[in-house]
Amino acid sequence: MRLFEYQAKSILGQFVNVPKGVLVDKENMNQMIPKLSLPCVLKAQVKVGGRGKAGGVLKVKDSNDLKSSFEKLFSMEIKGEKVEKVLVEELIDIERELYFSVIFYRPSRRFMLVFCEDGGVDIEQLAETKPDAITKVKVDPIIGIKDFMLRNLIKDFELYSLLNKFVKEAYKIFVEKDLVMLEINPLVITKNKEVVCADAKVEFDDNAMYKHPEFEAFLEKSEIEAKKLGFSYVPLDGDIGILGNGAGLVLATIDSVTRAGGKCANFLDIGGGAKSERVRSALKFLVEQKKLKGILINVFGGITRADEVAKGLLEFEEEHKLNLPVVVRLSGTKADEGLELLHGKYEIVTSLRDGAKKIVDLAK
Amino acid sequence: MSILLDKRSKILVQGITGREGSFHTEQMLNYPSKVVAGVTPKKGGTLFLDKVPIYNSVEEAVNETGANVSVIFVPPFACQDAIFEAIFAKIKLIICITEGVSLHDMADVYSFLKTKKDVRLIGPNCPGIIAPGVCKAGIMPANAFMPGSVGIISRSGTLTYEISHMLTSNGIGQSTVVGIGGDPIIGTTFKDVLMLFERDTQTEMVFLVGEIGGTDEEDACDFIREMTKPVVAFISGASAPEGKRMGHAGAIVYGKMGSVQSKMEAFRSAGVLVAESIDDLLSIAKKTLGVVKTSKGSKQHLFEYYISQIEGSDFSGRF
Repeated sequence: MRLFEYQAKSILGQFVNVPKGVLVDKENMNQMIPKLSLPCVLKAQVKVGGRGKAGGVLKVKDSNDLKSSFEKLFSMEIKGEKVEKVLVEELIDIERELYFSVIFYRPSRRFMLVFCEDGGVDIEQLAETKPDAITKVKVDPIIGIKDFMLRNLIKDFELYSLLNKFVKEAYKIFVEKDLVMLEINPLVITKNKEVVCADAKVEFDDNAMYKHPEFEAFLEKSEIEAKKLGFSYVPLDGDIGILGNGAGLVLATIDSVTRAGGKCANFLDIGGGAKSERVRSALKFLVEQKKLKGILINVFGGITRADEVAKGLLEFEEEHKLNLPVVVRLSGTKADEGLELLHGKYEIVTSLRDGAKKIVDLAK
Repeated sequence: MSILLDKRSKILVQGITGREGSFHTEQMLNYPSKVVAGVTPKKGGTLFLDKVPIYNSVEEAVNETGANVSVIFVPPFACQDAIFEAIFAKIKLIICITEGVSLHDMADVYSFLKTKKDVRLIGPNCPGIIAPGVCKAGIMPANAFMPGSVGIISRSGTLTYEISHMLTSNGIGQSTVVGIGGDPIIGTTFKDVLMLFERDTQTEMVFLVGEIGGTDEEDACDFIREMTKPVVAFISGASAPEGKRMGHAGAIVYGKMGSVQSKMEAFRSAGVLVAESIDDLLSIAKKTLGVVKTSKGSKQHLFEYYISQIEGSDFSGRF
């Protein structure tokens, strides 16, 4: 789960320096404006990158400009994401802007510290043009951070001394809060030689939610819904609904429909061991999200029992008339029992290629 | 011979009394696999289905029964503990079925495993291993598999069943099928299993089922270049939208690594045939096995023959 900057800072602020800030939304904007001290910086809260370049950060010096600045941000859409909240922060006395992140590095299954003496919006460009300017150090989770690793990461001794405590603290947060990524860009050194996280991008490991009830408040409505129901859902651009089990099989089903000339409306993995109730709620969720021209159900029973999937479909149809072509493919554990339940009521196919062709035809 | 499992495999199930654990233990017993023990703390001294003894600890179970393979079904929060318990009880093959284990829990396990060269962990979040006709240590539906000469390694459980089922219904059997799991941190990767298949006399060709994300597919290519057996790959997710990017950090650290493009290019340069759809894997298997049986030639020869057979078809120029 990706956190908004204000959420990330509410966690980080307990351990390291973050600028003083207050959250403003459309509803409380008019009450908040008179209370804000100037100068300040208004930061649109979105989860996508490239906010600064899109004009989502505004410095305000004059109180007459506050309202218009808020209105400008609230009417903004950054890479398709609407701005619902704005973080208002004090200006900090910047002497230097650095780049720092801790990330899970999948190829070696280690954590990696990444550092650059030049932080800011052009860091990706720098990574291409001057890759040597960016230093990376892998960390074995059992050993943790040692000083020599930090000396290898931060070559400038003055910076090393200044940042030693901060980096160790940031890594501690990364581990204790079960993060997958913690990126501070820019990491600011103030004129008073304080280390301040001016921005923060944090990605939290959803599998660790049971350890951190404090993160539950950060879940969005649709995420809570999907999580409660026990499946993963990703909306796509098309109009053919897809329901399957196992990420790989659902991806391959989408690939097949795409190859057959259709466009899929979603990725929906009902997960392992789904009972009929979860299938029913997944179907309900699916048709509520957008208008569909057809649904392809592709389930291969392993830990999921195929008869439960069939029952879920029938139970759903009892409550809601679908009026949509539905193509079903079931195999594996309890597939025969499942197909018997569906016999004569739905289009049943045996191969994925046939299923993809059939649903694309029927959805025309 | 199969790889990883054989007639001497004695299975221990950690979490044998849970919903998934009990259902799949019964399926394993029916296969028939030798499930010799189960572990559920506080339930030691009882029997599962009136025949499999349950113990309070893995150590006790190993001492009493000589179990040498563990299959783990415990819930995610207890999974790291279960893996460490199996390692410390000297189990050499640990298969972790559990889905949803946290990244940091697995990072510690992985780091510790690096110091234990003789222990192999499969998974987590995987369907396990089946050596058709010999032993099943996992959750795959048995009727999708039959003994034969195709080795399969896969990151996706359901896709594995799908592909095996297609082969089996057409009379093509499998030597061993290994589901390595779809999580960011898994104990055993493509390269490890490919090395075992290369040495295995029963295996004549290998299917590798990959997925977008990570670089395990790319990392296996150096070894594939040295292999004498043909490798055919399928990668799911070609039409998936670009995933959410992990800030600048992702771009800086990964660049273009892990995309379907990157995997396909790496495979082709290593002489791997890349199938566009799982439905194509069947005809590829039929043709390739036919050539393996008749020619016994080098891999290069095999692929030249293969290209000549499929010219103009969907896969021409896919090397």
